[in-house]
Parts: sequence; C-alpha cells; structure tokens
Amino acid sequence: MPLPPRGLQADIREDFLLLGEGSGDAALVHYLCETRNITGYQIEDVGGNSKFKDYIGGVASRPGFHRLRGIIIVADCDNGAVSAFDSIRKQIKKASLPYPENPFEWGRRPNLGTLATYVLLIPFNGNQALSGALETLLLPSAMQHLSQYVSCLEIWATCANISSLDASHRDKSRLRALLTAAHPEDPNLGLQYALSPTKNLIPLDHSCFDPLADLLRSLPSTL
Amino acid sequence: MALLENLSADDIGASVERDYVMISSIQMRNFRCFENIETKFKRFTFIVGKSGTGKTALLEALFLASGGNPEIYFRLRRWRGFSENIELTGTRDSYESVFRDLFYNFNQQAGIYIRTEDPDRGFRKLEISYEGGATLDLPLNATGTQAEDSFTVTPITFKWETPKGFKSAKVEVVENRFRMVGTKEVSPMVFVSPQTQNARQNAVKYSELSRKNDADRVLEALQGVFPDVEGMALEFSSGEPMLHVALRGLQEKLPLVLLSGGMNKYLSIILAILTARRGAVIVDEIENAFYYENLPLILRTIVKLCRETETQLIATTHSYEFLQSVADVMDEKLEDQSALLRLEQGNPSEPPQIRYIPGSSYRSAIASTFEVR
Repeated sequence: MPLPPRGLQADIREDFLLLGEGSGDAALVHYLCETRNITGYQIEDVGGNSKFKDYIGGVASRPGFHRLRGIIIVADCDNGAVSAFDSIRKQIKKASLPYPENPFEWGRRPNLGTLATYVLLIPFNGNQALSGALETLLLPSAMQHLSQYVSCLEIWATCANISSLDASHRDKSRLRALLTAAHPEDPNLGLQYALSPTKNLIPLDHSCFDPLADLLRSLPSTL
Repeated sequence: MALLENLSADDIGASVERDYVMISSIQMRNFRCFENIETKFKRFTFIVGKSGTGKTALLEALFLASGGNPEIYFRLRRWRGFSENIELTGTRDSYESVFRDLFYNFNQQAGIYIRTEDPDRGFRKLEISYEGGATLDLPLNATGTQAEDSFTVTPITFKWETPKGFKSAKVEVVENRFRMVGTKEVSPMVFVSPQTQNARQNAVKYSELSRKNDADRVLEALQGVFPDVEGMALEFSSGEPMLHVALRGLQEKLPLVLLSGGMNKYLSIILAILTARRGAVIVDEIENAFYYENLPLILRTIVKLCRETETQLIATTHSYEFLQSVADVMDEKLEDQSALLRLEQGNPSEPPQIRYIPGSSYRSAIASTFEVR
C-alpha cells in the first residue's frame, strides 16, 4: 500500500506517531514497516525541514493527540548529527513538548504528561548516527540490486570527481545516477516513489536496513 | 471592500494589548451531555467537535448561566425545535419531562451546576434542582381549589448567584400555565443561531442602535462585505417595522429578509456585537449561510467590531474553510487572544471531554493541514 498522499491529516489513531522530516524518510519507514511487518506506528511525512516547525507545533491540536505515547522524528544527519539533532530539539521544545537530551533516547518531562519524544537520525549503525544522508543508508541495497550499473557508476563517479564531495552529497549523487540508469522512463523519480516495493529498485529486505528495522520493532517497548 | 480586505492585525486592533473577556472559564456538572467538565475561554474562542458531542449544549450552558429568569430555558427549548405549546397531563412525570433533558443522563436527582468566571464582574453561578422548594399541587381546577386527583411535585428551581448575592426562581404552574419570576440582573450576552435569527429581533436591535446614533456602524460593516448595499433603514412592511436595504441599481429599498441568507446572518451577528458591548456574543454554526470566499472578510470585520466594542466571541463551527480563515485572521499578534475548544467523545456511552488548544498551536495545525475538527 502506498504512503497516503499529503492532504488533510487524519486523526491520530496509533500510540506512536512517526514523523519523517522529508518524504523520503517517511517513505522508507513506511515501506520498511510494511515489508518487515512492524506495526504500531502512524507514519506521516512532515513535508520538509521548513514545515517541521508548524507540524510539531500543531500536533497537539489533532484529535487523538491525548492517546499518544510517543512521537518519533526521523531525520537526515546531513553530515552533522549534532546540528541536525539540535535543530530538531529546538523545535520540539518550542512546541512545549517534552524533548530528549540526545538522539536515540526518549525525552520525557514529568510536568508534561506521559508523552515522550525521540529523534532517530539516519544513517546510523544501530548504535550511533553516521555522517551522510538518507541516500547513504539506501545505497548498499540499491548497488547490490542494480549491480549491472555499478561499473558504469564508478567510471562516472571518477570522471565527475564525486569523491571530493562530502558524504551526503556524494551518496545523493551516486544514488541518483543509479536510479536514473535503472529507471529511464522517469530519471527524476523521487525517493518516496523509488522506495516503493512495486518499483523494485531498492529492496528493503537488505541487511543494511536491519539496524533500523530492529530499532523500530523494539522502540515501543523501551518506553 | 478593498479597504477591509487589506486590514492588518494592527488595523483590527491587535496592537491594543488588553484582551477583554467576559467569560474566562466555565465549570459545569450534570448538564445535558456533560457529566463534569471545565475549560477556559479566550476573547475569540471557536468550538469544534463531531455532531452530538455537545457544542450547542456548551453554548446553552453559557447562555443559561448569563440569564436571570428560567424563561430563557423555554427559549432554548424552542430553538431546539420543541413546540411552544406545552401540555401537562397532570402527572409528576409530565411536569418533570419538560426539564429532564437538561440533566446529564436524565438523572433529575443530581442537581445541575454551572459556574462561569468574569474577570471584571466576578463569578456567576447557576444551580438547577428540585431540592428545597415548596411543593406544588397539580392539577388545579378552574376555581383554584385542589382537585381530587391532585398530586404533589416539587417545582424546579433556578438559582443564580453572583458576588452581589443570589436570586432564585421557581417554575410554577398556575392555571395550567407556567409562571416564573426572574431576577433583574443579567449578563450582556446574545445567542445567535439559525433558530434565533429573525427579522423582528434585527429590527429591534437596529432601532436600539439608531436611537443612540450608532446605526452608521451597522451600515459600514454591511457595506464592508456587501458593497452593493447603499443604505439601510427601518420601514413598515405589512404594518410591521422591518429592516430594508437600498441596493445599487434598484429604485426601491428591499426588505432585508428577501436578500441572501448570508447577509441576514451576518447582520444578526453584527447587531449582536454592537448591542452587547463589554459582553459576549455566542454563535452556533457561525459559518452557516456564508459563501466560502467571503469567510475571511466576514471574520475580519467581526473581529474588528469585537475589539472596538470590547465584546467576546464564542462560536461553534464544522467548517474547515472557516477555521482556515480563523488561522489567517488571528495572526501572530492576535493568536494569544484566540483558542480552539474541541469536544471529543470516546464512545456514545461516555460523556464528552473538552480539549483546550491555544491559538499558536491551532495556527500551526492549520498550516500543516491537520484535521482539527
């Protein structure tokens, strides 16, 4: 089932609300949960970093908010786990919600009820955030599955001096080149669509996703 | 019209820091669908919730508490659609059936308690119960003596209390008619709903404003949204005074009731605000009859008038378009003066709960296209 389109967001019906900072983050978690049979999350796409402030600020207005036990925010490290986390934490604090002190831990405040928040930064290795972006996490699966294009990709990467870029831009470039080669009917295919199992471009049963799947499966029980 | 469309938050009074509210909070027990709730109000409070969760009942509680005579309960009955003619069949149940839907779960043993807080005038409390009153024999025959099959009921009592003291009023039956004596002091509150709007009421309010040389403000507000209106006046129609408007291009004035429902509804709200200075106007289903494109302009004008007259606005709505207009009009400078109340009901056997949502959170929710109703 595809990720529901952005529109009038419905009532909160699950105990855990998982917000993808971007559409790719939300799609990854959505399809990963679907593929690996992980339940209990209401997954939504915030619509980008610029919309995060209003999204988190307005979440308490939604019907069903009072049933929530946890809000999990999934965001890219974008080469700086510390700054990415600080930016998210500020917004959570401004929305008068409990906020965590560090990524990968629940933030609770006794005077703010039982609700807790959690910031999940990707890519991560199961213990801590790594440098890079969502594409960094996706690349191993795409490269293995689309191996027929890898030798061309490496030649192009060398010619284009991709290795001189930071990890985030380097992996974004490499994944885009792979998707363009494998999906010529729409070279600009967005990640939120490329992640759909029906596209068969980035298999979500790859072991690179195991740490994320394990975390999502166990997270509710840690609260 | 263009002038009003371009009104900024400053123009509509946001720069004035004082946030007048007549009712800052309410507590109530055993009233209609509410077992026990309390909530705060802001100067501009909008109430949402699914059908049957008690939005209108909350307005009724405010209205009853603001009154001083049980007669207003009979008005609420009429607005709810009950017949004006009440026939008592000469049983205790017959008498009590008139009031039973006021009580949570129809339990008339538990009294109703409603208390509102007014920062300027102090608290206002209403208790409705069958306790402590003198007994009343029913039925009475034509000579006023007790009939052979008479029985005894305790009349229902409405007791209002303010810092100045309390007044109670019983609903008695005399010669098969209800009789009730009210108190003089009432709060300045006007209830506008599809059932309360009528031409006569509008004419009376307009006349009241006209006497005080304040009718021009009505015209100005009307023209702000309906620019084809060139003038308005009270004229006799079939022997009855009615509001008429002069429209651009027409040779004669037309009775207002012949024009759009939206114009009539808007006028009812404007008249209510201008006649309830330093009071509160409560509006049921505020968006009804308004064309969606007019909603922001209508709301802007209403907000402007409320600020000018120091009037509080409490309104229910089902319309997302209206709520978007609220988020637009109640910008950064006004959001602290607004709030959303949502009535939620887990399942039909449970009483509704009320959620208070501050203006800032509400505006963020609308910006994120969240369903908030």
